[in-house]
Amino acid sequence: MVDYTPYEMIAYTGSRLLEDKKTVFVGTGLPMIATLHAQRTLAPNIILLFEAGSLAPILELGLPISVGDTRAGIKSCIIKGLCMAFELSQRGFIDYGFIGGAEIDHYGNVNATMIGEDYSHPIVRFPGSGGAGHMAVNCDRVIITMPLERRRFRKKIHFVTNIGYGDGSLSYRRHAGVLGSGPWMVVTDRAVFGFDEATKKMTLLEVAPGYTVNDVLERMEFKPMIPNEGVKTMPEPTAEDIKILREIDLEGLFLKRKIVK
Amino acid sequence: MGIPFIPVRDHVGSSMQYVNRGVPIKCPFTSETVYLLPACHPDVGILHAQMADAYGNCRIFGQLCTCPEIALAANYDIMTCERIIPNESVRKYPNLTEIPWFAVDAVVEQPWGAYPVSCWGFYWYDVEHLRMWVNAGNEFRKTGKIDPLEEYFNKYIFECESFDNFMSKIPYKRLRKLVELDGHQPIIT
Repeated sequence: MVDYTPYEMIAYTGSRLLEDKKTVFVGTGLPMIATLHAQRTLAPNIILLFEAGSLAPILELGLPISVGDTRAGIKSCIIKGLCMAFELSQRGFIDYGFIGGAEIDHYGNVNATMIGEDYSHPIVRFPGSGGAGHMAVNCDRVIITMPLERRRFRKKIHFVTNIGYGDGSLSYRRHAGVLGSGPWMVVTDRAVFGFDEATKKMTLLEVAPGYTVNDVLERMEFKPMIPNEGVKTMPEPTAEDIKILREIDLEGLFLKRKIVK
Repeated sequence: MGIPFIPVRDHVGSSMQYVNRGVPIKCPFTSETVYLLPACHPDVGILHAQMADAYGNCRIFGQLCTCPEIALAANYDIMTCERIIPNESVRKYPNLTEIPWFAVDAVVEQPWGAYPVSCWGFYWYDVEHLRMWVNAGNEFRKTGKIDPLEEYFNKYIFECESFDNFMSKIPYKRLRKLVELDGHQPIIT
């Protein structure tokens, strides 16, 4: 039995969703760790794009501190600036967008900006949106990572930073002038969600070993759809996967954080 | 870019649309929704690049982020650089110039100018120093105790006559380590 933290489960699960030789637009934190893990295991030729302007870097010096630092750029095929990175995604070259967030609702709309009612006087102000808003509308499939907590999975989020399927109406994304197909998966420490084709609502797909569907539902304010054929069990990371993850995040800045009950 | 706005694919349908100055419109050519981002005109831009010549032609290695855009949009630009290079070097490889001299009003040769953050080809982040700064700020934010923050400001800013004076307070061994951690990324002088 391998011992792992909740955030290590999120990073591992995010990593196994990425396909080799595809392009992924990566945000800071967990998405970076997950993509680095994928590059070292099942997807060695995965192509990263960072919003600061580096395309296809090989992250051999370790985990970058920010999307714009030296480690996020070495051995790239091309380095220019933000405008080039955003041109590539606006032209439709990017397969996956990999973002985090503070809150998410039934239709995959994400809040990375604030908690509160008044934008000029928030109760809490997060560092969002950064490049995430752009990623959410232009990358083909968006993977969202966050821990499964009731305060995050809400019926109504405080602020829509990155649009998912909006209000669920079929033409919402088209009216918004959006290119990508939308939220694809939501990866948490004890559940993985997809989105229903017809209704665009979040659907429970996998549950972590040792937990039941009810354990998942009590950590959400809204009830996700449950497929008729039932849910699968999330694969667990192996000892080798944990070793790689802990080598990537040597100080445990991201992977050792605790989940709020 | 010298124009009042650019159209982008972003923001429409989110709350961002209501807290920003941009305007969504129907594109006159494709009839699709597009978001117009208004230009901004900062009064002053302050940027650090790897190299510049005395006129202000700047060479940036590593990610450009939005440096060329800031330099050209701002009314007055101060460029600091690790090293000033001769104009002949600039003219030898004109493609490597990312900011033309029109945009720049003052050039300062200041090695370690980006410290404590990284500068491609020169040095990596001083994580220890950044952590000290963040902890001092967090202590003030969470407990109201201002002493660590005041101590930081006094020691590293107010009591320093110059940036060189500030850098002399960082142990030499640490600086050697930061140079090594950069991995000696290739640059062209």
